[in-house]
Amino acid sequence: MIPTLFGITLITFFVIQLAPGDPASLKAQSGTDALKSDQMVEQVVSETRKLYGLDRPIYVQYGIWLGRLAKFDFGNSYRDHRPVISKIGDALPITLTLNILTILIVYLISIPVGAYSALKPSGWRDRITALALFVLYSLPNFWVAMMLIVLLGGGDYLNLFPIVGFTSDNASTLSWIGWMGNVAWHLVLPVTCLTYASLAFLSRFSRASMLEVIRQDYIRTARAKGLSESKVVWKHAMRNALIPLVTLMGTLLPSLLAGSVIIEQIFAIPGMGRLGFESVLSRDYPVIMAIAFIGALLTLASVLLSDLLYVVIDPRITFRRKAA
Amino acid sequence: MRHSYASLIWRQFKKSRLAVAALILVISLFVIAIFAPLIASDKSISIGGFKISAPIPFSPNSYDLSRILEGPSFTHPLGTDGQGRDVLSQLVWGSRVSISVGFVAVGISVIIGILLGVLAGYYGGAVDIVISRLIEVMMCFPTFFLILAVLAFIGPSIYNIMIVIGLTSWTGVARLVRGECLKLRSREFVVAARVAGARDRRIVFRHLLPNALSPVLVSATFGVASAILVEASLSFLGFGVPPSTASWGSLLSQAQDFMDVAWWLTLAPGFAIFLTVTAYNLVGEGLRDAIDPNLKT
Amino acid sequence: MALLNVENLRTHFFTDAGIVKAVDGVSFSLNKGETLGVVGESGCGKTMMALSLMRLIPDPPGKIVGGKIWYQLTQTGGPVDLLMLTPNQMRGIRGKRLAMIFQEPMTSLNPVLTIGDQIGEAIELHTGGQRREVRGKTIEMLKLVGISAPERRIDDYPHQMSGGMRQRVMIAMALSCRPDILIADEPTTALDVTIQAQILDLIAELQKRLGMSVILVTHDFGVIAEVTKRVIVMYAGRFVEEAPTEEIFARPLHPYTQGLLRAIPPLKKSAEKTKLATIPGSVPDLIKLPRGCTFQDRCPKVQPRCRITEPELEDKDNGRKVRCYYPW
Repeated sequence: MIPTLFGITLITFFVIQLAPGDPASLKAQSGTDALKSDQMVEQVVSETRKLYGLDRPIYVQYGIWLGRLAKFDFGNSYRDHRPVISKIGDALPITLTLNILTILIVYLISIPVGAYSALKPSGWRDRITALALFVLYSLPNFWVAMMLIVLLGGGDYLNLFPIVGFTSDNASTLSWIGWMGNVAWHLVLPVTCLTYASLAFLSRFSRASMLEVIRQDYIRTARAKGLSESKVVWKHAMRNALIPLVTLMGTLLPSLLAGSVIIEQIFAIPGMGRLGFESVLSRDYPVIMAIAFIGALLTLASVLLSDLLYVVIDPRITFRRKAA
Repeated sequence: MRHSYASLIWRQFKKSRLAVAALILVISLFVIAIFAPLIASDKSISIGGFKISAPIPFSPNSYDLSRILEGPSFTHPLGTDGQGRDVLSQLVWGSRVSISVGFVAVGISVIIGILLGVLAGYYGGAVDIVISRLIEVMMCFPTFFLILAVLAFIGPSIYNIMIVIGLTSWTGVARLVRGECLKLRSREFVVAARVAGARDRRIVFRHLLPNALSPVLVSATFGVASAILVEASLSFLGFGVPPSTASWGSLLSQAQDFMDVAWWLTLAPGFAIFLTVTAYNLVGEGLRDAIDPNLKT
Repeated sequence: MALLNVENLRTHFFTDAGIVKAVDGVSFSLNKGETLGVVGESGCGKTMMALSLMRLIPDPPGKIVGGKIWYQLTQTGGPVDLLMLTPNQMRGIRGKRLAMIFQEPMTSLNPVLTIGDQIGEAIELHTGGQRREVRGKTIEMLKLVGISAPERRIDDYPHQMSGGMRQRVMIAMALSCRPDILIADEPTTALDVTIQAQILDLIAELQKRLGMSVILVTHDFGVIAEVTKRVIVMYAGRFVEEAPTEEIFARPLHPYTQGLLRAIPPLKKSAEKTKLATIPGSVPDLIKLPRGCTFQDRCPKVQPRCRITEPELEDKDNGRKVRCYYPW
């Protein structure tokens, strides 16, 4: 894990070097005070240079950067000079909420759906479900978002859900429960857009896994004992079928984070995705760097988490064996 | 031997009518993309005195401000956009962008992936460790965001898009190839070749790769679908091809501006993307089932 | 009074390639306390027959298409046809009155549940009881099948045990509710030879102790000789010979049985180093069985009559039966 972490820092650092222009002069230029004498600009540039160690050789720069990274000091945003870390601190919880909700819903729906179609394979129900899931999987999510907005969000048809923001303007006046409800109401459309693709994928996976498990000898043994079919499925089959699904969780998060960018932009939700997009638009390098890094970090964390879950669920795996 | 392997797969593939239909769709799209200038253009060709005009007699850029935002009609089967441009013509030309980005990007990623995969899988040891770490690191990054960032740095152009997508999506192929090489490395025929003194390169090309190629082909097919989606998303966000070139994603983004008066403009480009992606996914599925029918059920 | 009386059992599998007649007209009876052996090559349908008795045939593609399985459910009442029971009723019988153990102990136990859980499940299902009671009974069962330190091992997972121990757990699981009939499908095939002997002894001892009947399915005549009193030879989905064990070794009547016995490598270091005798040819395709006797293409004594109609199972003296026009 540690070397991977190092690799992440290396690549982020490398990518940032691709940025055209000297960060120092860019910073100096991006300041909002228009009236700066040339002398002042010079001063800012040389100070910034010293601050970022830009006058030192590149590996020293890397070292300095690593040190600051360890303290989560990403510098200040070029746009509004706020510390990057606080901007991320505002945006991260929102994106995390969105994504955790998505993961929960995806798993909650896809596990039963997959299991159900596995129990009656090749029936017409199974085939229709498979086709529907396949179609869902191929829909581009920004198109779905637009369609949902048109149909349900105030276009020519129904107006059931808000299409902008995380909360309505009067949210601060609501009680705690009311606030939660308000947030939930705002999140219906974006979460739908984020879930459907992963849902399709996971359902098919869950079906395949369940099919594999049902064929096993121990299921036959369970039936030979006279256990009811539901016990066979839920106690014996399900736990085994879940094992590969858990390991998938580690790869689910990065794809969700990617989808967040577009969805958050369309629905104007102030999360990491939108922050990232805006920072790219305005060439706000410290923020870009920070988001790339934190994104990678989160992915690493979720892989670790799913590994841990794997150890918990499958008694054959001990932590030492998994790490080896 | 290899010749019959391919025909074996083809025979199995043919069994699924859905997959074959999807393949026909993919090929047709390819043809449309190549012949777009002949299909949709306001210029006409004169052959021996006869003037032949294109079946869709509009260029994607020929605008007519007197006929904006029209619905479907006989002359404009899919209507016109906010500047009077024929939507169908734009759709046809947009396919060029999507297909070319899809293929080139996947081509790049497959080449990188095979290269790294073979190095890691065949040589093992330290090389494998380093490359595996690299693969892990690459997989951690939020790919789409990375693509955005890099494009912001080096400027979006169709070539840059192809390269960046290619450079960020090779990890799957690399892992596949590495796995296959590791599996096959200790098999008898490789050991035999080694004992006979065959040079590494020969072993790799003649023995290892052909076996690894089929899953790579499956992965590449899905990769094209994914690359097309990424390009569309980029264009949608304004980071794609320059607005002078028609692209399905940018068509959608323009349609977004007119959502309150002409929301139907979102249908055509969106459906085009959906259809293309579905077709490639279906072909990929068909290939996968044809190669290993055990995975089906 | 026969405990189990099977009449003309037929189980067919409906596949794309055709109908596989895995079990095609099997009839036999089993008495209380008896050990019956069913022997045959792989693919002859003996496992399918065993599964049919338990009604565990995977449907689709398989289906029990005919016959009756009369089972003496109660002491006083008449026999009940198991094939007429509802699925729920059948479930009540499985594990409790009829139990089965399988060939591969490695894959026949659920890897994510403890063995105590898996044994206790059966106990709780059929006899009920509080958790402590069930646990107590489970430990007793483990002791019964010869697993040492049962109080510790009860919380082990299958992968923590050896093959022999796993098979003992399977036996414990099957016998936990004191069934009338134990069906053992190749219980020792996947085990080492020394362990094989132990397991067979265990089964024999438990049978005596619990007074149950055993149907032992195997391809190994050595096992037959060791444990069974009566044996049935099965070929291509049908029985071809039935006899008391001693007699079948002394005087096999059916050419197939003779071939099988001849194929056992001789132990005697006799002067002639003869080639291993085999039965020429291979098992016929169960989808396209030949007209007449199913053994015709491999039989050294085949006559024209054998190719026209199939012989019936005929009773011979001494409780023997054989399906051949020209038995020894």
